Amino acid sequence: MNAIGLDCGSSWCKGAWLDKNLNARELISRPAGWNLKKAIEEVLETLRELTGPGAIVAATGYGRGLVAGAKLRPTEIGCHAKGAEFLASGTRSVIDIGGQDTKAIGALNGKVLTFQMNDRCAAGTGRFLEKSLERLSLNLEDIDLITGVSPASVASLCAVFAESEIMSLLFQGVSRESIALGVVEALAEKAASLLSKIKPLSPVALTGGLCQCRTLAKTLSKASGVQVINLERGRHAGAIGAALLALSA
Amino acid sequence: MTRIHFKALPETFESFGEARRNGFLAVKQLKDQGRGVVGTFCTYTPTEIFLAGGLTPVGLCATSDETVSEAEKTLPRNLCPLIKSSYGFVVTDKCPYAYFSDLIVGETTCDGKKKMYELLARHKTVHVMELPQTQNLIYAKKLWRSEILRLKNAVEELFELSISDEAISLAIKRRNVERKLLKDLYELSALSPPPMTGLQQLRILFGSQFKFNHTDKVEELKQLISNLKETAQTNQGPVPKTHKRIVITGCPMGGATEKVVEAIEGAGAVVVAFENCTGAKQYDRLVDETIEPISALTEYYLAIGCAVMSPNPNRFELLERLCHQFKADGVVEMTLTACQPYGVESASVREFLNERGIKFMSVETDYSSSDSELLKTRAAAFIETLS
Ligand code: SF4
Ligand code: SF4
Repeated sequence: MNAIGLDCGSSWCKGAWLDKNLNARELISRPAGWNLKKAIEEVLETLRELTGPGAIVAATGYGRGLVAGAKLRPTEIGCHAKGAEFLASGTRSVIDIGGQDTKAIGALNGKVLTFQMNDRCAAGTGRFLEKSLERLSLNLEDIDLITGVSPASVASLCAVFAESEIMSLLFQGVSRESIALGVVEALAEKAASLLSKIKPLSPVALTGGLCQCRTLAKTLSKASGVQVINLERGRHAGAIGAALLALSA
Repeated sequence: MTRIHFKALPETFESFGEARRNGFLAVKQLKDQGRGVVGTFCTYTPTEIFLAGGLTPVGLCATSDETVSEAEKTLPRNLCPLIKSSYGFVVTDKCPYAYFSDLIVGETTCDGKKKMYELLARHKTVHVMELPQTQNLIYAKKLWRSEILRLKNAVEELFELSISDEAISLAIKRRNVERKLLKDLYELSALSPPPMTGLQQLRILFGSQFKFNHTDKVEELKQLISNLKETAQTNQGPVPKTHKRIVITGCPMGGATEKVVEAIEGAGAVVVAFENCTGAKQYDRLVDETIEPISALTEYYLAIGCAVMSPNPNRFELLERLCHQFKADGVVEMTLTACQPYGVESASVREFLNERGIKFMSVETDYSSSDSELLKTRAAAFIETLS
């Protein structure tokens, strides 16, 4: 039996194909854009071509209701816990920094014991970093290449206000590399405060779209006082978790 | 009663929902009979004083974001939505109840509210009671007692009537009958499964404040209770036995914040009890009928466990009791954006429940619907952790 897990987030639609031996055979993603439904269909179709007919589908994320024929629709919190356990067995704590929210999850054997999530606004989420980098014309990958500058102090965590703060730093002649590191630091502070509420156990797995950013993991470790590690395939943790749930359903 | 004058009906009243519209017609009828209406904003208001004077008290706490933008023309954006919306409804004349209120009574509860009353006084006749911020100091009781007497005098003067102790005692008796019935009603949800959903319970509790005829209200509540009992006996209820049982605590609920209950109940759980002002906080205890009525009101109202009190032991006592009585699997707290008393007290609630091994989640929200998806995700994830 094959399973397809879809994680339909606000920025990206991620998909995972798991076979009956629990091998993650294919991990793909598409930008969500404005037409969520189209992105979802594309991911689903691509994976269906690979799995052939008969695969069970589970969908998670904000767009999970849009996935036609999904057998189950678990929350992304449960899926990230399951997916993180799959990617790094024995994981007790997860920090998932997503497009419109950030979640700190405490888990045991892939089951959620406790979680914390930001309220309403996009302060300290992936969107906040994305917007800031856009303003600085930098890519996410560029951050890990920055050397020899110290982070500027960025106080605002709001995706909207940060922009004016970034402008004023630029006017003061602060380098964009330094500002970028400052933004990462501000993001890490916010995520660390969520993390502290779940009493994290080291090592904490970083999942979601920023999972590969070494600088973020390092800064987050420093801010939270527990070791945070990059999960190589962490951006697909939610989709993998959904597929795992589909297989055990 | 010279101060009471009747105004024409603004068109916006038409758009009000059925329940409130029925209540509105009732208020209008009372006004037509020449009876005065007093608008209130808080559970601390001793409504028996108004009832004893033959006046009709009506809750004005607004629960929709319809007038928030209007209110923001005057009030800061970063203010609790309950305050903004309530203010907005009064100044725009969009709330029929506020519109027909001859007097508005508020208390010095939280800072936002008490400063809002100053602004409200430009539009309506407002009387603000000085509420002590603590319950156990001797001065607190003394102050609250004298404030209840000051309110009584103000009402007597404004409406040109006199309120006897006997009338207050009778009002206490009647309100107690209603409190007892409402408590009997929500306590049916201690059954497994409960004979009603949390949303149904909330709507009954919320809607009951817009029923103004005591005898009818008592009859309707009795009927409702007997219907619910039958539902329970025949196992015909809307809730499967397997549903996780949730107790809600926090800021007042109703209207727009029904979304929190909907999120929980859409995820395979049922809200069995409301600790909030809309529920048990108001109906759990009765006013003592055996002592002098003003003292009885002083004791009863001052003991309400709201976060504006410091310390606030009564909220915790009630919350723990409800958790046991209703066999709660978890507690969800709702705080309104920018509510400092409840926002800060949330940390103590978390710790209190943690120590007792009761699962807890706190959500912050306002009257807009922009976070319904977020609420659904959070509620579903919380329910997942309960199994
Ligand atoms: S929560 Fe407190 S301030 Fe608000 S209505 Fe209830 S008792 Fe009054
Ligand atoms: S919810 Fe909080 S801030 Fe709003 S009126 Fe009540 S106590 Fe005040």
